Amino acid sequence: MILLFHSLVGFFLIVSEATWLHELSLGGIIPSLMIPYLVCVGTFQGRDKGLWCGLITGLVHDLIFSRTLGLFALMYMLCGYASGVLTTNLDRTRLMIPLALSGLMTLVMGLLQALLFQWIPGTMGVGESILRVLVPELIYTLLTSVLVYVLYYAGFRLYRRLKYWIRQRRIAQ
Amino acid sequence: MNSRSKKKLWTGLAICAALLILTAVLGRRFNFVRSPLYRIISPVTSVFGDFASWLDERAHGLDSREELLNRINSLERQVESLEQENRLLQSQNRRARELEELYDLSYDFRSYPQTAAEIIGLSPSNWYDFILIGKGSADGIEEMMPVIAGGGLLGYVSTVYDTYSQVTTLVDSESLVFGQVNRPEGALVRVRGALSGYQASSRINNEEYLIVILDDDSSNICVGDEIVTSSLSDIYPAGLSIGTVIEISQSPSTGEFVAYLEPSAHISQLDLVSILTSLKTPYVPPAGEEETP
Repeated sequence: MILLFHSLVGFFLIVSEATWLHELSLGGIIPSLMIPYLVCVGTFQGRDKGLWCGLITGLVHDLIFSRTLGLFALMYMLCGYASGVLTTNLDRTRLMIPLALSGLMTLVMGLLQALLFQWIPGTMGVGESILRVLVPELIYTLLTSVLVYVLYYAGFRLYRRLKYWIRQRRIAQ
Repeated sequence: MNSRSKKKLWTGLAICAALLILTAVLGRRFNFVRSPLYRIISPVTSVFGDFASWLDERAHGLDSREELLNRINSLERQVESLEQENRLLQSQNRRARELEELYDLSYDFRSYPQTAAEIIGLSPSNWYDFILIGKGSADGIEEMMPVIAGGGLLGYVSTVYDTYSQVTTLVDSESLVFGQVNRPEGALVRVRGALSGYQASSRINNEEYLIVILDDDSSNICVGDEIVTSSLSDIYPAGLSIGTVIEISQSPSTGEFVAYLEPSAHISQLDLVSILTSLKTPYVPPAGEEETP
């Protein structure tokens, strides 16, 4: 159920990236909502949920928007899984951890996409693509990550309180 | 890492690898999966698209608000109604202008059967540029059909699904078009896209622009020249406006001389496009008109 909910939210975020988020683009650059979201899922729900949520949302992304099936599924899956693995022994409630992870994932995925879509076809130089696209995207995604983290953490706490309250009511009955 | 978790990771990796191999082997024959999925998600994209339009209208509304504030002293009682009216008119005007441009452009190429379509989605990545339009194979759309809008060429239909299609725009870095300087004996040039957000020159303020690769001689092109499609192109009819030269300089990456073009069709300002539904054919003048020699 949790996985279904997270995948559904991920789906809405993907559609957002393709529609209204372009209205908030800065210099033609849009931030990634999926990377900070998957980092939050991996961090708070564990590596397994991060893995499946990443795989499902990545597949949706591939099926609707991508030219290659499986590419974003692989990247998002590893993003969710790695977030879960890297934060296993860390204090997940500290903002800096998901923020640093979002930055790292944006950098890795950006480099991979630049390699596949720009450097190998030879349409754009390495330095130019890093300066003109990757760095602005990284900064913008980091700023967005704060918002995504705050919203996710608030939702996570609300869910746990609700769950606790339902359990207490059941015990009382 | 426990073995169960490892097993899940390997399963996920195997699924992704299988999909990548299937894409490599089957290519676009895999597209039959996409159409039913898109039919499910199209209501969501439609709602989100409306939200994007609302945000766009808000952004334009703020400009007009500033103008109205300057007049507030003399028009105190009328400000509120003027503001409302102004927003509405701006929105209608923008749409009317877009339709007018599309009509003019369609009229110029009236010998080609055309169909209009609404833009329903944009590229979700910063690394490639395409748009999704709300017409597909069910409406007679085929791959490689040219797409025009906003006063010029926008791109071509790259992938067709049942109810929607993907249009690769000229500004996509994979796009390459044969063009010609729109002057008597204008030189033939190759025009390629430049990635959104990538600005090679500080003088270029547009988010979207094109690059003309100058093969040998840079003297046969100058700032202000219009570049149109050449008859050498396999898919585009000759004479469609691609863009206007705004700067000529040396590329920092390759060292070759390049000209920067402002595209005639800006994706960010469009809601509607027109698709030339017949693949490239020779120009036939409409009945009643005689072709001049």
